[in-house]
Amino acid sequence: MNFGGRSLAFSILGLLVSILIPLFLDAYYLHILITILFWGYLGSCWNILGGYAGQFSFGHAAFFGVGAYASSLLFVDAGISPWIGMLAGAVLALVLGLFIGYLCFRYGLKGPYFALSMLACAQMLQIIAVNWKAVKGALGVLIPLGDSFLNFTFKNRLPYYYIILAMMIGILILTKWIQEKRLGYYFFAIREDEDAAKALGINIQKYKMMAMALSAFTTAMGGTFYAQYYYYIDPSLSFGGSVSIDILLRPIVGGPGTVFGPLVGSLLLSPLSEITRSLFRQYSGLHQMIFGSILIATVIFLPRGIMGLVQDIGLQIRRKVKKVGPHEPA
Amino acid sequence: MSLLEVKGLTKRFGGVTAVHRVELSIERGEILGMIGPNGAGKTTLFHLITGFHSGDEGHILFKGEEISSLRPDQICKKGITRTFQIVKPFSHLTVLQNVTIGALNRIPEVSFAKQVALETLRFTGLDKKKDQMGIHLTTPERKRLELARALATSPELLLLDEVMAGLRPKEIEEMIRLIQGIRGKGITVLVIEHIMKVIMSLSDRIVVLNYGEKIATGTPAEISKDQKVIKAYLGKEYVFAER
Amino acid sequence: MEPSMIIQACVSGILMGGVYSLIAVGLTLIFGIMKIINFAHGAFMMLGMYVSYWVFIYFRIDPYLSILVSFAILFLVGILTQIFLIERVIDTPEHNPLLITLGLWIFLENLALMIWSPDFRTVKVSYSAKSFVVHDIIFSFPRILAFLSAFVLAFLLYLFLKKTDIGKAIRAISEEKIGARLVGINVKKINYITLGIGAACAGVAGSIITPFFHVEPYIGEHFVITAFVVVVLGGMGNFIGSLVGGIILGLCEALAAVLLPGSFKLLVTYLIFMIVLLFRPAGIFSKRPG
Repeated sequence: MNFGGRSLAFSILGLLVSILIPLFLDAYYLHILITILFWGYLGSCWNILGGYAGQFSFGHAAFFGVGAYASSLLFVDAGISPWIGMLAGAVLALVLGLFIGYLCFRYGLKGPYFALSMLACAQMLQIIAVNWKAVKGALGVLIPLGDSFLNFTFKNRLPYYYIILAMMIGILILTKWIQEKRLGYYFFAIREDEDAAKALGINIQKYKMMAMALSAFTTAMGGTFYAQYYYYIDPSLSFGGSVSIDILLRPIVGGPGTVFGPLVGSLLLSPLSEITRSLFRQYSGLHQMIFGSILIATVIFLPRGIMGLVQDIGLQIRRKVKKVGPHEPA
Repeated sequence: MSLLEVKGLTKRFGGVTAVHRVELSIERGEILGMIGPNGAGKTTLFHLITGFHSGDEGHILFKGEEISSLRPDQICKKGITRTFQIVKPFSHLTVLQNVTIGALNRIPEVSFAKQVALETLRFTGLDKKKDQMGIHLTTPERKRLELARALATSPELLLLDEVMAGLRPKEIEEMIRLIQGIRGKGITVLVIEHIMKVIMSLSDRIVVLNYGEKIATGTPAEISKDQKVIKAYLGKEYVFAER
Repeated sequence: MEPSMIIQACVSGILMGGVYSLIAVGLTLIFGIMKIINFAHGAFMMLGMYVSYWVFIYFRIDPYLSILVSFAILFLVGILTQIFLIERVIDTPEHNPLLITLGLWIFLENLALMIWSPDFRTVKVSYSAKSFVVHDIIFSFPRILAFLSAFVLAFLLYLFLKKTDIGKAIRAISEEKIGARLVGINVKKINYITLGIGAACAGVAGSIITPFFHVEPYIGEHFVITAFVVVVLGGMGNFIGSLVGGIILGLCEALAAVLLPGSFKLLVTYLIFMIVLLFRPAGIFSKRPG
């Protein structure tokens, strides 16, 4: 893979910091770090379909919830390790994604149709989950506490941190890999102009489905993590509208279509959310209101997100440096 | 065997017949110009050949193979690439990325595709702009990008839809040389243009459409004397005027 | 399964369908003109409900009379939304208006949550429980009023679009924006008015169901999907399509409640959505599949 010298140095530094830092933090701050990585991870999964391929989904909770329920039910009802459950959930989500993708992309339905179809899907699953006794209905699924790697349960927060860190690094590598292969180029082409892409030999349906598959699969894995970390899931925590919004907000704000955008977005928004919720507990809905405002502000003032701004600034700096080169008069 | 053969191609949109029983053939290595007043069906024909529309009647054969029911991306893979009248650059990607996407048509490996893209940029004179974003390009640069991107797909037949529109005389001359250079590489070209001088000097043969029908075909010299063509463009009064 | 149950379902379904039609008409109008899906539509409806609720609490005015108030307020809200939010992103990539209306939806919903708490509220008018019985079929009085109000407003809107200059301008823009501009239509101003009308429709739809629907901040969530399904069913931008689609959806929902077990009624909307997407994505009035 292609890593410029400078970004390689930064990445290694970042890796070291992220491995060492939790050792110095107490449980509360560790929890915040975990939520940053967790939502950053989910945002990155969304980013593959939304930021890269340009298909914005407003209902990614559908995949998240499928992952959460699949592994939890397999664990609680059949004693199957959540690690295997994670895989099972991911495969299930993949099938679901391909099905929805087929319905939507077949006639070239995109944009609002797709966004809403995903939302409808998530809501449908929520209704089914509430009303279906076999999945415990509105009561939800309670994961038994424990301290076993095989059961993906830990007393301490630290193992969870390293697991989500590994997942985050994994999705970053996947995203970077996609960006540098034909897959990523084709995703961008589809995002920018489908007709032009077609005329250049790109099979739109095929690549959209691939983006969908990757995104669904990885998002579902995040659902399993959630279930094992919080020890409890229910229909609204798994499929609810606020979950879908939380998932897409970080990449949009941080920079859709960039590798680090979702993580950057999460670095900003997750602590904000935690602080708002704990400081202003009496005003329920405040943190959502703030999120809504940030979304609006981002779309109007920073449409390419924070990373987009960073890239622009970087470009300006490089241009100025080129103009006032070492051999030219200032 | 002709490279491309269009037989009896008809396309209707509701009550309007945009293309009516058009027959034409393109020979390997030639530059075929297509002219006709606005609304004559030229761009519709492009859409039909490249799979963006499906014809109601008729056949399109490429190297003897029927392609009329193929998708646009499949047709590109077969060897026909087109540009768009209103250019469609990938605005938030760099020039190099744009053309690389074209090159990826035949070359699955990105680093090799980039090489081909760079060569294509040099050939089309855009290499100095390779790191510029699509939205920051001027109109003539965009037209050139559209052409470069299409060229990078390594087509056997290139369909150019009014690549000269909006260009200044010097830019037009450069573009003419570019297209001749493309033919020099062995690529067959079908060009739609409005600017008479360009078509006359560039084309080996010309086909003339009017109201969706082919009204004439021949060398530039023959076409300029053809009564039907003169009538279509200038009206009946000029039919008997001397050139 | 008695036939009277089916007929009862049909009646309830049609009555509720009228309300769906009204909401959908607002949404399809906005889409027809600006080619954007207004995600905040459900929130507008929710605001309309709260307007009627508070007007009722403070002034004891019947919801079917305070329709005028919610129409006016939501009309204003719609215009403001257009001016300050949607105008800024109108020529940018397709997903931006989507995101902005999504952001607005989240904002409004949670603003309501913060100000008015998640408590369910109800408007109890003297006739809230009144009904007629005709041949074993129960006709709920408030639902009839709701249906009639929806019908009247839709009819007025239809006349407005057909006969007035502004209405014609709206139709012109939805068919051919550039051409409309060329003949001198002030597209910007018409956009304001259209969003105002669209929001007002949603607001009125909210008002007219307050006598028999609880008022709470998240009520919009369900109706957004329903409205969208109706719009897709009737064809995006198709006024009559939305009217018919609303009735059809209302009917299907009510029949499903009677014929299918449990809470499957809630899934009917989504099922219809999937079927339409599969077979007639351009709406039931379109001629060809894609």
